[in-house]
Amino acid sequence: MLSVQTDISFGSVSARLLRFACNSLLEMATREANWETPLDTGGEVFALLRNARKAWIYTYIRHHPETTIQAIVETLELPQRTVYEYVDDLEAAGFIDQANEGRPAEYTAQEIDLQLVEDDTERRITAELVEAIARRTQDDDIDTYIDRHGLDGLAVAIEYAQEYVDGSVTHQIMACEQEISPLEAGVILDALRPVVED
Amino acid sequence: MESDSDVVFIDSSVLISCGRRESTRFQSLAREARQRDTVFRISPQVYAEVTGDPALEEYTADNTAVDEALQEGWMKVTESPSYSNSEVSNVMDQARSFIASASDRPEDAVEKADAEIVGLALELILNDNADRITIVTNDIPLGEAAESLLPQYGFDDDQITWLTGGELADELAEDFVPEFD
Repeated sequence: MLSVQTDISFGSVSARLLRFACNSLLEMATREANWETPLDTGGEVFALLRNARKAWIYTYIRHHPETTIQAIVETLELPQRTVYEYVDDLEAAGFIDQANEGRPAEYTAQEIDLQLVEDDTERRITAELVEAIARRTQDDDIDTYIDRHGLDGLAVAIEYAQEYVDGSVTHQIMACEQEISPLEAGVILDALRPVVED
Repeated sequence: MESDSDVVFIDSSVLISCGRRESTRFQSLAREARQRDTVFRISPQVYAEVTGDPALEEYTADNTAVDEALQEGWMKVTESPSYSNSEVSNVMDQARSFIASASDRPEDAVEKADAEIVGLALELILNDNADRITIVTNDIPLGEAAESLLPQYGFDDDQITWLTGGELADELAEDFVPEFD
């Protein structure tokens, strides 16, 4: 059974540890009384992981605080209806907030940092993972890597990419440890560099 | 072996990053070679790593780009370093050790062949066949190993330079997804 632990702070809302199980019925194990839309948060995270365009919109907002729907539509060249729908979803889940009063609405992103636990395996779902998924729409190499190694493989590659830019791993070491070719390791490390280098 | 004043070695990590966008980054590499009036050197192991992989076709990596560069003459494949030369062999082991330490891995996690670029550079120093050596790699532990170990063999610090691909040419560090800038 899959469970998700979240520890998100939303400005004035204090950090809480929330644990709930995700399956098609979304049962909640525990819940803080003043927590807002935890079910939406959990479900929305998986939506982000599955939907590269939505991930792209979230990541764009994260890199361009106080941006508007119109700016997103024009820059990302997505249909306005799609952008409205996805922005609504992201706002309902608390991943973005309207930063101003009135119109046009300006949106700013909240950081995402969740931990996914299944039996003995833990994976962090971070804004970087979401950005990597967003980039698959533009970067064939990331797209190929996900096809070959899944989102878990991508999450692991992001950890290596962080080590890579920190100077504590070579592409051959990653290749050896992950049992992939040096070329594939080199490609994904290069592709993820801008994701981890802020 | 001819004597070059400025010798530049390119490592696999940089060639792999260049192969990602077909020849666009390779064009930048070619330009750098022209401007420096030098022929970039790659080891046989690097050549094998970037051209011999069955996974190649799945990625945008273009294996003909390296062969074209060799044909055009601004890149060449060197001999392997002389593993039987004790100093050369030694410096490669030291580089392995350095990399293992920098990455907090056991030494056998690092292959001697991964440090060939350091062995090749030392051969040039020992044979007095270069005034300056530049090593281009995105693998930071390898670059730091070269900078740290090679000056101990009689070269001055400023005769050995380590550059990342992006430091060699701006285009090699450019982000393909500009809307996140």
